[in-house]
Amino acid sequence: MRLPTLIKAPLALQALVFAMLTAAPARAEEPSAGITDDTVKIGISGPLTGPVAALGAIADGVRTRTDPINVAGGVRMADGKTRKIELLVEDDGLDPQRTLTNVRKLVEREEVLAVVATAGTPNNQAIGRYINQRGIPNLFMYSGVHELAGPEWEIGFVPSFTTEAATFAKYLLDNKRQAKVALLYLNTETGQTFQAALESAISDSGVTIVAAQPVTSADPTVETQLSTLKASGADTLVVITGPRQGAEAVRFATESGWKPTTLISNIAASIASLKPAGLENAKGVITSQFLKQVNASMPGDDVGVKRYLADHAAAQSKFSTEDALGQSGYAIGDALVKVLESMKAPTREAMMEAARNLDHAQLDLLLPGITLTTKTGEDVYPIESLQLFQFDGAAYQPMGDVISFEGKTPRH
Amino acid sequence: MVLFFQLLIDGLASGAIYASLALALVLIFRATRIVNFGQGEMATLSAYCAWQLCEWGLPVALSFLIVGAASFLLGVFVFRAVIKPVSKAPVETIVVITLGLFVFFQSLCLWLWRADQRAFPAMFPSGGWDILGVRVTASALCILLVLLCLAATMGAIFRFTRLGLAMRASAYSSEKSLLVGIRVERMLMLGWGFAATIGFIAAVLVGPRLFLSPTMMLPILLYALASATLGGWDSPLGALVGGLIVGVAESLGATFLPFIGADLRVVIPIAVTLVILLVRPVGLFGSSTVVKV
Repeated sequence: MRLPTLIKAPLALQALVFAMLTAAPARAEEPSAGITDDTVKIGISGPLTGPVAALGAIADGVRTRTDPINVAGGVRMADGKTRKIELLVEDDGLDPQRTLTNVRKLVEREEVLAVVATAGTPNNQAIGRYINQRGIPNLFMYSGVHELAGPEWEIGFVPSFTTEAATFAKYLLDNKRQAKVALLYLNTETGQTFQAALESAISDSGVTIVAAQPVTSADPTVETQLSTLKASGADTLVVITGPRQGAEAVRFATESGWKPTTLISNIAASIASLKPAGLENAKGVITSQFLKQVNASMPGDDVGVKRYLADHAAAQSKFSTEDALGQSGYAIGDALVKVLESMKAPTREAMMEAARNLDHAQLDLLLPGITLTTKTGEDVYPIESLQLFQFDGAAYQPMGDVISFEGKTPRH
Repeated sequence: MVLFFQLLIDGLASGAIYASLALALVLIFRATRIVNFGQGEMATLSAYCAWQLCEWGLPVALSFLIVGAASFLLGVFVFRAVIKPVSKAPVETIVVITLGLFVFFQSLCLWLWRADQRAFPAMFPSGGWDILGVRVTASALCILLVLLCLAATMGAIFRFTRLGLAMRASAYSSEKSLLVGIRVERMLMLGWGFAATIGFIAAVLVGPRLFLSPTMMLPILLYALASATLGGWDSPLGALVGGLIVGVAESLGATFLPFIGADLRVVIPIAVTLVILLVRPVGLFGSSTVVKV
């Protein structure tokens, strides 16, 4: 008696699939899941606990932007309706497997319209296939590697590591044409992408990479690697690691009497994270930035910074106002609002369309001259400009103008 | 050649870091026959408390003293509240419970102080010396000296004092110890208290090198476990030597064995430990328990 049911089951499934296929075109104009006439549900999966819980500030940063907007009534979208943003945050401890579980849960149970600010390159890698299959927008990933596993439905935010590598290379080509570079890099997609981009940017010049040492975030200390780099005779140290190893490198470079020209990726260069290494040791460190400097005690008269500080107070955010990760989250929240504003229909397709066609969108916390620009099929990088800064022992001072790679971010 | 000696010195410096936690692990094992996976995180909590007191304006030495004493109480409290109720349970239960301590204390620090790294007040001068091109830092040297004194003191207490004997006896067999008039529970309590204090001292020593963060002890735990196994679980001096061997092996191995990349580094201490255990199953300085039938 079981046989017929066994045969029937696939038939029923086929019928269902067929019904879904034929129904799809008719439903194209209907709202996607997660969006009603007055709310839009957005999911975030990020590390709120674990060794890199500092990245949890990104999720809180997004909330810092959306909370005050909800209080003021919501976002007025291009289809004429005003909607509030409902954020659902899940903790993944930066474990890619948990990110996937979270995103599935957010999509299938909570029925979010999209996920934003997913932190970590491997984490975005892990959810790529799923979001591509289901057609879920994965907006403004917090990853410096942009071409990941879900090309049709994902878009990054922070400048690609290739952009930062090109910026560092430009500095060396302009100022230190015979630089001998020692590279301390995180042994993940992040560091490898950066290394490859740096190598190709200096390939025809007098700048050479004389030594490179990989680190992992589980290394208790990185002094061995630094000793090896120092012994290579390099006069320039480029650091593309997490904040702890970055601070250690800064301290080592001074304490060991090496004193190379030190360039540190903006993921490790915040003043707060350099502090434990001793700010006097960090004097002269060069980094590249796309966010404004925020000093809560001296806010200045920048409208964007003022709004950020007001929102930060109103939303009772858990991160400090000077936390670059929280600021990135805030900027991502800002970008999300820009995308929602220009969505012409309440669907996931329209959302991707909006995110893929940003035209010089200005955000509160982006440095003057840096805007979001994308174009379907041509330009997937929202931010392609960086400005070099040098630490003077108390604050970062700008070095020259914004360096723009608009439309020509090196691929990897 | 200069690089070789520099890496040797670097290896000793990081070995001292591993040894400091290994020392606390060995102490608690010697006194209670338990491997406390939460030892490092308890030490982190103590370190945070000391840092907080300094931030509130207390002199560094005073806050270290206060927290040193408080750590002892913390150890006693953990024993009474968490370990004692399950003291008759099988060893697997205890392991899971100490893993629970690990998670609990880490989350507690994360919740109280969040994940940012902070500067821990340094006890030792930050300078160093250049000896024929090889850099030796004062702090690494001081850490080693302090650890050596600690290990020697601990070893002496266990071997030569009545208290040490009583602690060893209660760890070895609680029933027989009771019969000869040792107050076993008090001994175990003391063991947990001392271990927590040693853990705090370890955190004070390594805090300035590693920066204070809720997870600062996490990467060390594996190396410390390897060090303790290598040196022998019942020898404080063994923990110190084990830590140094692990540190040097890691430093030299990762640099001079080209096939070892960043991801394989952590395998070195495990491999070294395995080789030594094959030759001497109780570790370099460990003593085997003889059972007479």
